Amino acid sequence: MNENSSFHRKIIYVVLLAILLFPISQLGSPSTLEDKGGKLAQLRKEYELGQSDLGEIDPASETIRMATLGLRGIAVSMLWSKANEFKKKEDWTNFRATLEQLAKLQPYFISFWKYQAWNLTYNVSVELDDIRDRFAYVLRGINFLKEGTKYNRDNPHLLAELGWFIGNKIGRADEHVEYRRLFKADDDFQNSFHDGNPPPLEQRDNWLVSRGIYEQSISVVDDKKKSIGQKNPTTFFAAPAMSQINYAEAIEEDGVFQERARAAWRSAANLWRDYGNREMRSSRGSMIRLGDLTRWELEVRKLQSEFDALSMGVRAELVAEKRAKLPAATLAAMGVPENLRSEQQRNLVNEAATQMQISIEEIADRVAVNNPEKAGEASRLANRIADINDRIFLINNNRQVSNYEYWKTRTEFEQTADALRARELAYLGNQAFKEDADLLQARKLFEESFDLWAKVFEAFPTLDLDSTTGSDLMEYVEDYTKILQQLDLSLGDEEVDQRFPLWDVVIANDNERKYFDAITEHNRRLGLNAEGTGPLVEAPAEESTTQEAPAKQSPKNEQPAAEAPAQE
Amino acid sequence: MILEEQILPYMQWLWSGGPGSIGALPRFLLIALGLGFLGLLLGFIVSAARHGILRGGDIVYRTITNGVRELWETSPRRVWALAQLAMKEAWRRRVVVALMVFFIILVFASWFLRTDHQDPAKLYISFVLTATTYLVLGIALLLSAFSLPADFKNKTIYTIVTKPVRAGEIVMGRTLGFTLVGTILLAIMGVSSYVFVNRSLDHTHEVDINSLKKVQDAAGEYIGQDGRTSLDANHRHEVELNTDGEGKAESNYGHYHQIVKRGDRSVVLGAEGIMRARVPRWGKLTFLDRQGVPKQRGISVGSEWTYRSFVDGNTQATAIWTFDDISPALNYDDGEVSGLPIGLIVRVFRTHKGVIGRGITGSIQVRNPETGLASEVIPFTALDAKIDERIIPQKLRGTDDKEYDLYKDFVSPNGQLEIRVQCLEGGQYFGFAQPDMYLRLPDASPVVNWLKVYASIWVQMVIVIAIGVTASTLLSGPVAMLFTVSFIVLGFFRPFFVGVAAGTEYGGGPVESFYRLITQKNIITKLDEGFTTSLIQGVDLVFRSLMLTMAQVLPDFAALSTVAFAALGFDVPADKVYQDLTMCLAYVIGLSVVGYFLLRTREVAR
Repeated sequence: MNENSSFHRKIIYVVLLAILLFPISQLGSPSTLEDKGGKLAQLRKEYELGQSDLGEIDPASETIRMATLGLRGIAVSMLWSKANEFKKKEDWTNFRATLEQLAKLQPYFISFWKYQAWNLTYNVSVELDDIRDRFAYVLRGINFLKEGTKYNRDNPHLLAELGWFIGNKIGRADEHVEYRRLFKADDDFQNSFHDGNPPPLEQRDNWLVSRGIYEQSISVVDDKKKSIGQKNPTTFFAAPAMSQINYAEAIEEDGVFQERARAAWRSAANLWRDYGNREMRSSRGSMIRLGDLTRWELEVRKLQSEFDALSMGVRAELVAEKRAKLPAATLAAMGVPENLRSEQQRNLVNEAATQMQISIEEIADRVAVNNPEKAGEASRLANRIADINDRIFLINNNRQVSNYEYWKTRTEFEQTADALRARELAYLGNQAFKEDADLLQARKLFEESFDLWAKVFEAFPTLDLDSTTGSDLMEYVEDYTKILQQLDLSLGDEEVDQRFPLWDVVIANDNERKYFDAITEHNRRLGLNAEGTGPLVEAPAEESTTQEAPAKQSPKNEQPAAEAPAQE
Repeated sequence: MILEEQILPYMQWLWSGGPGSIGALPRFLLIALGLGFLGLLLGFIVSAARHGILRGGDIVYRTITNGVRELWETSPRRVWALAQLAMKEAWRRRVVVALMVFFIILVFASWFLRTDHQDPAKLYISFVLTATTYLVLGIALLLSAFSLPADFKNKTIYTIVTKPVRAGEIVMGRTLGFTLVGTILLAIMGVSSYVFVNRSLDHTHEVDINSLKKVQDAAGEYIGQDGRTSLDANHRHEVELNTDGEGKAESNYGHYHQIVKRGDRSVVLGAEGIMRARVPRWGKLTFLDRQGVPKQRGISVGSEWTYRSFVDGNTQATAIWTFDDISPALNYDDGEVSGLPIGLIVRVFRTHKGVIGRGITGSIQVRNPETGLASEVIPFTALDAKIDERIIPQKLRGTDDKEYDLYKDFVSPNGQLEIRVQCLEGGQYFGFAQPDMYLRLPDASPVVNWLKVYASIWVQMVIVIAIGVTASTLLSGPVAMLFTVSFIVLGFFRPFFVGVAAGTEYGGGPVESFYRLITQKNIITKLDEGFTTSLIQGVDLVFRSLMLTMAQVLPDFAALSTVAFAALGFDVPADKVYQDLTMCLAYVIGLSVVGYFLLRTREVAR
């Protein structure tokens, strides 16, 4: 090892480094306006891995993150701790300021935006007493979350959260009447929220804005192929339609009816139909459409009848075989009439019923054994039927999650003239009662409303009595009973009973038994018992005299008995 | 304003202290005695080990007597000469760079500070004062900790000790010199930050002509216009104009604007009330519970922060403030209203929504604590967590419906007045802490208040300089810096440090919390009984005793800071300023003596 060889080695290293610079510069060259850049830049663009693909790049954020000199984690932990301390001590100004610092330090951490926006909108706002201050903090949380969407442009979770805040917090809070009004009237917020292009006044309803945000979140999933992660697709994709439905309900609550309300419900029905036609991934990975239930049920019935034709007699054969294998005790229990079985016998029979269930695969297998030439067809039909049944099961489950059938019916009937007028009459009746104190007019309006509601139920027999609509009607019934009370009447009075067409609704929704007496009276007039489940059983009229008679008779009876031995 | 520790009157603080504590002077003497004794003991042990017991004792005796004599004979002229030397050294070490850093922070502050907060002044003031504090403490630390060790390293210490200077004069000279440098820097920072805050928050608006609506009185006569201003600095104001087109842009975001007519336009002037220095005079707070039984605190509504306690609405529960030294001199009279001005902060807690959009009503009543004469009830609607500035009228009706004078009838002969507040709505609560009601004396000057806040920053700086210089007499530069940094950090977390030492914090002492950290147990879980736990807790007992001892000399930087006063618009009480200056003097004197003796242990300084 001498100086020369060391020098030569160094020269070789430098030359190698110089040679390596060429591929490095090719691979790593940045993209510009005119040039796509090197391979890395192209891959970055293709897979959207660049920071600019996430959202805005903020120089202040970059500066403060660099200024922490690698201690960003410690700074963030300290700031979270400080934020909690400020929140505990109700120092809202410093709390918000700390959140802003945190936002600069961790702008791409989604949970941070969700958590702290929720803190501002839901937790901090309720700590303030003045409703304008509360609303100001609700808006601050919304603005905070909107800022998060700038840093994380195509994140469906943040957008959905933003839609929820604007819809649910403003539209469902106890203060929703004031919040909705303030939301529409706040020109400055509308201007900044819509980036200088605020919508016209009638479009500023919080539910409509919420719907727009939800649609953005869905378009990000559809067009930019972003994942919704663990979110349930059934509820995620229903959000715009639900916002529209909530909008339609809200404007009717505000006293808007006729064509505007009809248009709102029509739009809701269209959105709900589109939702039903959307293909969504089920929990088992298969793609389903909620609106396809009828189609699949028809298909499975058709296939089932083909299969039954193919497998004639096989089911009975299998049932007989399984029955033959049942223990004697079980068979004996099955021979006992149902209403005379003991508990043990009932258990045995239930077990037997489970054991004796014949699956379609078993039938197909037996067909393959009995008629090998039909094996292929039987197997194909069996698989198809099982697959469709599975699909029907998933669709039914998901329809229950979103209450699909109810909202489908609801968006249809709410558009009808009867329903619109019924709601309008109830609204006017409420006003006549609470604002004008005109009891007679209020009663008349409510009764007209109830008549129309009865027609609606008749026209839409699939509408469940104990659905949300039933609850809505119970609110009207409650107001109506208050009016009756003021008129020294009650729902149970005969003249009211005969006029009132919604007894079925009241019976189905009276969970707290507030109307028990009225319902009992009504049932009694119909000749039914108190529950309405059977005929009224009159208490025996002689019970009271019959009870006395033995007391009276017993001395008479005793006397002959006492006398009898004497006679003998 | 939030004041978790009461500010005692200066003489009481100095001599007798508050409830549960002793006065500052007795505490200082106790600590001095303790440290002195410890020093003596340590010195004796070291001397005895080196030279034997008798000779060691003699050395200790001579050291003490010589030390006392030298300290007594300290020459102010020599101290000043050494101070000038320290100032030159600081200049050579480019201490001006700190000013550059400060200006850069101010210039880029707008990137991180927004004006769309409810109270932007609080944020801006808090930011500049906190930045100043950290920067100045950093400068003080670097200057003081490296100065003497650098002299030792470069052997320039010989150029000093060969002159007829005493060790004590070296320590005091350095301290004084660095203090003066720091003072000049602080003065420049103070002026710049005041200008910065005012310039950043100053703004104006236009009157939004389209929003103006005519206002008529009951007779239909035109009396003015109402409207709003344009959106500037993320906010607007409601506007009230008289028939001349002049008026006021009502308070919002902690300030308001006057509106004057210029030509045919109503012009909105600059913001007023952004920087305020309210002068409160606080009273004593007690409570009556819902049955009317006197209590020290109201009830809890479940809040983790127990600063405030609450009174139940529509019951006998009452918050009672007793104020001293009430006299007609406090009366406010502007020709329209005359009475005693008070500030009231109510924290409203609702257990049900009540009427949405309507505030909770309460009542104020004044009472003579001696005669029991009570006024009629004055209803009010609570402004939640905002300062409600009201006037208790001078002419009041009593509960007997007769007219009385506030100062003559409701104030007792010894100048006491009771003001009682109740909540009138059932199911709702009002929360109060002692500083939540105060008498409003005329506002002080915001500029003077700014100076007082900077005085408290100056005090913190001087303490750090004294610690740094003292540490550097014995330790090398980096070690002295670390030692001083530890003091600063522990000083900022002193309440937590004392809590751990006293065992009131969850998680046990240092060894137990380290054990919990590595075994991933949370701070609430009880440790399993056994030898390990007993050993850990035994060692912690020793550590915690040391920590408690050390806590006595730790400066409480959080308590020394008066930033919150300026940020919230309150005047720093004079008592607080005197207390801070006294603390500073105590640290400087104590640390100078310690520094003298430590320096004397070095070869060069003998």
